[in-house]
Amino acid sequence: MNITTLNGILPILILTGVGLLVLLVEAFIERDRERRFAFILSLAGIIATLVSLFSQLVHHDADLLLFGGALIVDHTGLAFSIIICLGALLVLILSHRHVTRIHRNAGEFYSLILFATLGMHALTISNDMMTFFVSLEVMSVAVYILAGVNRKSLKSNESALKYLILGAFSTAFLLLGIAFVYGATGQMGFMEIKEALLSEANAPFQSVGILGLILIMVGFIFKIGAFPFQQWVPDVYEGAPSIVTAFMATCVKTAAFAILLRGLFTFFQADESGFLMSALTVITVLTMIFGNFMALIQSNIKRLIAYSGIAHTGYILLAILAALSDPAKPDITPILFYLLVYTLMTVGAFAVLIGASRGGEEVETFEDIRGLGYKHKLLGLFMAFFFFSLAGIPSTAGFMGKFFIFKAAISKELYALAVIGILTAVVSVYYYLKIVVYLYLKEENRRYEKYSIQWNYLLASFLTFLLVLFLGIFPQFGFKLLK
Amino acid sequence: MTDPVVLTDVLFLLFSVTAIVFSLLVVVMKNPIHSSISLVLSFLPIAAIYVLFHAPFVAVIQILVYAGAIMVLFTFVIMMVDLSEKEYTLHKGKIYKLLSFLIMGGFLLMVPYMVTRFLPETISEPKESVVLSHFTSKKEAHEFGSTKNIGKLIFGKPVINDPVQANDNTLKSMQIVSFELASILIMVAIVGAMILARTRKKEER
Repeated sequence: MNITTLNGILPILILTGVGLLVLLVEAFIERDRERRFAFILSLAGIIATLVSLFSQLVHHDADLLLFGGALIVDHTGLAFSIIICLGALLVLILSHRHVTRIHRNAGEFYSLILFATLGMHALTISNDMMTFFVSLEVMSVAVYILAGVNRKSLKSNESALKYLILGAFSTAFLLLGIAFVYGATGQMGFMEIKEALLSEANAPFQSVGILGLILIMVGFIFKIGAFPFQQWVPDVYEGAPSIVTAFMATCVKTAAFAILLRGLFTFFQADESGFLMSALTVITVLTMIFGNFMALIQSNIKRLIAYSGIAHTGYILLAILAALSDPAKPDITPILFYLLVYTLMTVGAFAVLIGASRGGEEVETFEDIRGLGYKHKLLGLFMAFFFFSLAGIPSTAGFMGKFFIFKAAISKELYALAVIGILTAVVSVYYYLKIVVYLYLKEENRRYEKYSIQWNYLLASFLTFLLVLFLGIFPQFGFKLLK
Repeated sequence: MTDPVVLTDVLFLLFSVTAIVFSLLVVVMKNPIHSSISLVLSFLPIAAIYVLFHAPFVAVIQILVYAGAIMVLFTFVIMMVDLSEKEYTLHKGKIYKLLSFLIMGGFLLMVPYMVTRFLPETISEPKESVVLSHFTSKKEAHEFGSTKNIGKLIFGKPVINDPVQANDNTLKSMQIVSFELASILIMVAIVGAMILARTRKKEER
């Protein structure tokens, strides 16, 4: 194992090591110091991972194949991993103090977050079916557990069970697809599969291979929560503890998009009938419409964010379609930028929601946030800003993200899709602003007792606020970073 | 004597149909114990298919680990959960008891036999070849799935030489990453089991 290899897998090594250490903290450190110690340790681990990823991205000049092509350290994978780690870092900051409210052992919670992040990173740089599948499962299993981590809450249990059963169902599709592809090509590596599918000698197995690819697509679409397989999203997001929902809505989704993108860019040329592309177009349109219109009628804020998350998935799919229509030199920067911005906005919104919850009760309905803007001025301001950004109001990063996606779609002459996207984005303004209205709605007969919130919520929401504002005004910095 | 390839084809069909029938029974059966027993029975033809593919080691593992250990555990859990409900208990006639003793005894005898019979060192050259496009030679197809090769698969050395890149060493140690990741996966699963299955009392302390 030489130094290049070691550098390539350094993030994986750090996350594994720190994850295991955090698990062991409970055994060696006395109870009252355990939580803080585990927190600092995992925070250091995530920051170290982030630094290592950044240095790899900065010094990146050629794609690095590791372990005989099982892993590929390339620009796309690293950029996705950085977004994921940033999300995980923010979630970690948020979970400090809060974590013991949902689970009695902080170390277990943190280590699961770290292992899930490890799975996600391995997923973004995986380059063959075996590595891809195992890392997907590392991520999924950790998140299934996180969804059910609050055992006292029936809803959390229900959501974990639903997620597990439906997730296992989608995994079955994925495995069957992998089996078909392996049967048709006899290869496990992504590039080898592509070559085998395109080669003349393999023509008789072509249709079996395509069938396998379609089944794999079904698995991916489930994970990103796009239209025909989206029903689990609101139920799971609603039931899981808010902090885990924030993690699922951002990091898991980004990782799923990373592997979807790698799969699509590798394989879609093998599909000469164009079925995958037309299917993806239909899915994109339906996802945008369904997500936005269902969000209109929600009364629970977490469900609303879940449905709006489905809508955002639709926008990112639109950006993927735009990138795919120019396979020679696909421009994936809009996708990365949007995912970065979406991660920041969503974690920010959850930071405020969790920070505003009182006495163990999570903020759920619109009534719960009524007048929040008066109770805590800063918190209300942040919240309003994040929802403006999610709606895509100019001067926020959310606007720039949507702008670049629609620009890419129009420049690739996907006019109809762009129009549908813009129209549904207009619809989305209604339900996002509804939340802002409730924030500043006065209650008749109650005085607002001002309350303080803990530093970590303020820190997380302030950081995301700054970044969203900054990327909204100077998006070129984000572009330069991700390009 | 029939053509060996045809014979394996017939056997393959036979075993796959049995496997499918038993897998269907798993879903169709009303009684969960019947379902779980059908599941055990569906593992056996699958193990036979592995043998047809010259992967005796995987076949033995399939029977030992899945049919032997995991399924028994499954059945126990179902029995523990549903013991109170009469309709879910098995028949208790003498014939059934005798039969179950016979089956269990046969299984117990079979295990040492299969282990000694199929130890990787003692595997003899296969007499016929299965038509599998990925293997370039009989020997290779035969070795696929033996202990030696599983070791190779994980720790280096190409296992399957693709005709296209016969001398290419890039396949070397390709699976070590997934192997190591799998260990983390199991770790996560254990932590999850601890979290979710810990007794309530401790939780509410």
